[in-house]
Amino acid sequence: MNNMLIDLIAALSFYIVPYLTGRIFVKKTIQAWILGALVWFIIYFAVFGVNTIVKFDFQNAVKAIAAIISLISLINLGAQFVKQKPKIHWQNTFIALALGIFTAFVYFFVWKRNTPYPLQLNWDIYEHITLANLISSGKLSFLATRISDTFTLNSYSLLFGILLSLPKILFQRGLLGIYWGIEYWHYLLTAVAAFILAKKVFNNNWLAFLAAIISSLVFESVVVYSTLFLIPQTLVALITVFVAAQIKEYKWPILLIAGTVILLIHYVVGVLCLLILAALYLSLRINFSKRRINLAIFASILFSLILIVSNLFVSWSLPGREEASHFNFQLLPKIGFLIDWYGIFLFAFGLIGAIKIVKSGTYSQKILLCLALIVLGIAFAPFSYFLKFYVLGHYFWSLIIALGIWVLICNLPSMLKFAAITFVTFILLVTFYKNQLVYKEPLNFKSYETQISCSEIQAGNWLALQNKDGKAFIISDPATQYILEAVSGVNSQGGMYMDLGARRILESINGYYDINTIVNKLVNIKDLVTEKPNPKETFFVVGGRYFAWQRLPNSQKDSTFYNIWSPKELTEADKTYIDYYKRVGLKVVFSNKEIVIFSL
Amino acid sequence: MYLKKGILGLLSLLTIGLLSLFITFARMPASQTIINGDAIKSSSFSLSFYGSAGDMLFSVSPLNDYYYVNNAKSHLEDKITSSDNGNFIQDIWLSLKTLILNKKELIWNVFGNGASSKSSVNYVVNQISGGVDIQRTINSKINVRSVGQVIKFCADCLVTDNKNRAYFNADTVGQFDIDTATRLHLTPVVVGENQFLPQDITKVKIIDRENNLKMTIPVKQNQVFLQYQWRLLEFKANLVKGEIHTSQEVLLNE
Repeated sequence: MNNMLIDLIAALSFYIVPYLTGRIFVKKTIQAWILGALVWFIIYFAVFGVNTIVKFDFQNAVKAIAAIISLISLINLGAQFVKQKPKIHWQNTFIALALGIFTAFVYFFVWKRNTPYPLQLNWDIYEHITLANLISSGKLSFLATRISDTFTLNSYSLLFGILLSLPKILFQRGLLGIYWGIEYWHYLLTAVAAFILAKKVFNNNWLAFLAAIISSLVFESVVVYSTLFLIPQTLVALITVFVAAQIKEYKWPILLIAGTVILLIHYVVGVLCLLILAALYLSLRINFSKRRINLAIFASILFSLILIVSNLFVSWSLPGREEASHFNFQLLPKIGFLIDWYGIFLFAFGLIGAIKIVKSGTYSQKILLCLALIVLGIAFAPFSYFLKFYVLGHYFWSLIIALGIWVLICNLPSMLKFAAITFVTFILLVTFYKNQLVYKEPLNFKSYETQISCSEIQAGNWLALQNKDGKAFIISDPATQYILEAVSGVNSQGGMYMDLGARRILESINGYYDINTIVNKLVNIKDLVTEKPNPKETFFVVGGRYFAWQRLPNSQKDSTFYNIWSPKELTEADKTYIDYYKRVGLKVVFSNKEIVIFSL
Repeated sequence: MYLKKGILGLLSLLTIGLLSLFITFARMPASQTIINGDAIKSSSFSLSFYGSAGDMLFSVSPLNDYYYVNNAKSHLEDKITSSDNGNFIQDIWLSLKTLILNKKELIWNVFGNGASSKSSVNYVVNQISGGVDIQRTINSKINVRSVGQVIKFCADCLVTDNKNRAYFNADTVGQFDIDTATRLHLTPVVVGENQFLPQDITKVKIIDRENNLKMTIPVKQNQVFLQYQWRLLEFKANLVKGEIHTSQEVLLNE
């Protein structure tokens, strides 16, 4: 079996191990996963706590616990299967198969077509891999900023990192390849979530399938990334949608656990998810009168409009974070994003669907519309990072758009209905294709579309071999060290969130031609978190990215927003610089076509 | 009644769907593509080819290309009035073709005024193994006999061939050029601007002054002219009677 298939299967442990853990206590799949995730969060801290008193191998302990839990759960599952002899629901199996084939086609044939295993298109994964690497080596804290200086803000707990470290510990494989596989499973689950929620709200298989297709082909390529990226904000939205679809079946204890897990996965988006779930839960319990629910829709429209229109008058960025100003978009660019993601589907079919709900929608459909409008308003409010909140709106609006399309085709015979859905799929597929092409345009490297190159992976693997005692340290431009820290596990100062002092040191070495001065300056770059301030070996990594970064204006080099996002080949001028470093006495310990590593 | 409603709904769906697609293409015009890491961008005046390091390799333009009528040569366009990257149907077709076959293609339609009348030139860049194929289609009332397919090559690059010769023009060659050719073990050959390169060559190679190969252009049946001062290399191809298009392969060394 090749590495890609192994990693694709190993990636499933991100979902299966928590599920098997929770399945010992509860039967419902999502509830079991949520409970299992929380149990693993507790297990890790418990093992870490015991390990501070009694020394043992952290990974072996986690492996043993996972094996025991999985074995108990599988025996339990097997016994229940034999006892209950559950029937196979052929219709559900067929729908699941159709969704699997469709999502696999879009993911592997369109999205990852020129991004072969294990190359990547998601820039955020490297910080999560770095964190999961540290967790799997037994480093834990309630604050991510206390574990790695790659994190400058605690917007989520370690729960996501803990779950991500499970495949690494259990299968002893690098997380880069695992991530390549895990994001497909996430993508498939987002389609399933849209289907289940739509089935619950509309009670119509055609409509639910249409909603799943719309969800799969709408990729919010800026800030949101609901479907194709697995990051804390997208995972928390996915869980929220699964919980929302069956919230009536949740008892108070499991609801509290779900709330805790949602909050632990993302403190900020999690709060919105909790408010949405609370609103949904209460509205389903209280059962407002028709007049009141119509009033709620009116209030939601007003709320949404006020926030959207306020873009014309107000703009607020998170103070103290230079990067935040770059994530505060004006109204017109935001509308442009919607057109890039949806074409005019959101404006046309979204409107038709909303009108249909207002006119003759059921109670739960009207609640869906209220929530969709509220999330849209919040996401499009004139505040930095708020667009992130649309991660939840993705699902709600997929359903409303599906309804809008359904209104137009529901009177057609089945064959024409099928043809119409095929036409809609075709339009969305072309829209998705164009949208993802624009996203991937800056990531072209040789014949690939990627943020990391094979040479960089090779350099990362070499660095990993030099770091058996965990005391090595790398210095490079922010993007290179961000990537290499994830691949190799070798520590760096902040990864791409390198602090200003370190950036200034790197900028300053350009003016010096004396090797002692350069080395003396570089060794002043220190990790801000680690307890061992003096690394055993420090590597200075230069490559196409490094020189491209050095050529940026100083104002951009000082900013965490500007990075060299794609691999770069060494130019002739870069090679001359490297030759100069060699001539003045820097020792080359590794080199390939794109990367040269010096030992300081 | 139901059928009437259904047909109305279907028509609305088709209209909204096509309008959506149209707006998507209008927002994201196919004005550039990337083939094997090399970016190809169309602007108002030229079609430019960039290497993966962002360095310009070469460009083509109807302002540089020639057409021949009775041995008199003129530029395909003296003035470009407008250009586009294909119509709506071409856009959809191109997207589908790329989506299904994973072969990149770029269309650049140029409209302007030629020497004697209004004309248009349609450039299509196709991905081929190891490079690109540039097709030029000339729409003009004039009976064009030959086309001079001109490539404006990279700054400070040298024109060499498969027989290790480096070419320069008599009126611009300097000692520095001769020294560079000698350093790179190439035989310097001086040609006039109206004198074509020797006909025994099969490939023209463009290299930089560190002997890094930038691109290779198969000569086929063409006559090759050099204007080194303007970094122009013309491949004169005769058109078969009745045909209006030519094809030129450029192999990129990436």
